[in-house]
Amino acid sequence: MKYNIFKIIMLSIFAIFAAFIILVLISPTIYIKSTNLLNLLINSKEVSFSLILSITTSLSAVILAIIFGVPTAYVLSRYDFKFKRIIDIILDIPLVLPPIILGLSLLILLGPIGGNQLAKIGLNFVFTKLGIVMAQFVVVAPLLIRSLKIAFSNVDPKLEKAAMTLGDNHFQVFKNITIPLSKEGIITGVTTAWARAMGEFGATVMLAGATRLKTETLPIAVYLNMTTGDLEMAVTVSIVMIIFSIIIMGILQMYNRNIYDYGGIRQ
Amino acid sequence: MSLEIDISKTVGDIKLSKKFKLEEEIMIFYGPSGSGKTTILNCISGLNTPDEGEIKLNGKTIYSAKKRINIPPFKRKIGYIFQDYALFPHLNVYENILYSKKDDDLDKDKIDKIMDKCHIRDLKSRYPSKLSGGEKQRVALARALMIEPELLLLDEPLSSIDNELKNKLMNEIKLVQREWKIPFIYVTHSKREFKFLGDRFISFNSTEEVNFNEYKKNIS
Repeated sequence: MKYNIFKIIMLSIFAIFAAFIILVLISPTIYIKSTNLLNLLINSKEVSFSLILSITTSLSAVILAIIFGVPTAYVLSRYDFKFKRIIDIILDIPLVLPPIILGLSLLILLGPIGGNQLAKIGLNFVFTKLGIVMAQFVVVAPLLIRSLKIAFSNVDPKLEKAAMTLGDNHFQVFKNITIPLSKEGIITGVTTAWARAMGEFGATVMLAGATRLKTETLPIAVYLNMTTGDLEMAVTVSIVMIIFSIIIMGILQMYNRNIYDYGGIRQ
Repeated sequence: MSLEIDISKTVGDIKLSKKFKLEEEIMIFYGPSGSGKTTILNCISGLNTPDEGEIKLNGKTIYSAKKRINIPPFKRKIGYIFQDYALFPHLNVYENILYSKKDDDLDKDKIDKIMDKCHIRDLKSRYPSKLSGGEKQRVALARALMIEPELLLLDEPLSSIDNELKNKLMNEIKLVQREWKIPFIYVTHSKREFKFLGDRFISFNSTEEVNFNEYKKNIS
């Protein structure tokens, strides 16, 4: 057989799709002159403000997601209790719900319903930076929990039991066995959650609003500049986000290669 | 060293009741899969909790439903060799063996002695994925012995080992038991292992019986 038709079809579709995605990613750089891009990247107060705000809020949201997500995922993967399945499904709902709806629900909960009480203890979420963190947290926590749940479920409970017979208490088992063996899933979950938090728009805009140089994260900067017709600035911010995504993917790839180092095993 | 057991545990529709006393000898749990052998083993180790009864190890109560005592597994000093050995895949052989030793708790002579006894000194830096079935079994044995157990539980440790090696490993297990002078409970459904290793046995004959027949037999 000279030609493998199947292979040719598959490779052609693959090549078209890959080329399309690459084109999508580089098109902003084609649109803007490199001198203007560099100038805006270095000198624009808006770019640096939104970049710093995005990094600090997204990192805070991810840390919060880890604090709540690790125990939640562990409970869902290890313990059996009544209504577990239903709770599990409910916790997954934010994954398929449009973020703008989540933002609206948050706005109602943290505004008219609980806003006054929260304000008394110094927590103001509506139209504040704290609101950005909260919106990002609610969007990314279910994503992280899903990754962690799979990661913990892949750890053979027998290994945890073995560690217990060797003198480890529950905390030590978690630290010495469960965490190291689910490291791959944890790193993947945390980095994708972080990337998702950096790009969060819908829930953020509902809860924290879109105020220039106040609650202006990178995606909100793109939105604000597009609505005011400043396409160059919008493209510059987009490029910052694309670079960030490439860095995140690079970290993931590097890490995925490293996990084969201890004897080439995967549990 | 002695173990006294009088416990019952219901799993699904089956009520398992076991009562026996074990000295420094090898007790075989003999019976088909699903007859509750591992469940009883887990109750003894503390990984599972019996519904009622009492377990005493060297006169010390480690479980009592009445007195509400349930010493956790990490404080029982009971070695456990799991069916597929449960070696930690992210740790090499040496780290696996030393798992129970926390920091300044290292007695090098003892470690070397146990590694020699189990013929695994050359495997120190290998990871479990690179070990044969027999080697894994020896590492699991060494790891369990490192806690200086007062009782050793072995759950079908030779089920995936080929026949030729099986004889050798059975011999080694017997030698270790005679040297360490602690009670061993050995789960198997192999007649050969049962006959070669058993000083006594408990038959887990049928999953339907409410109380299992209990026998004592000397194999010599």
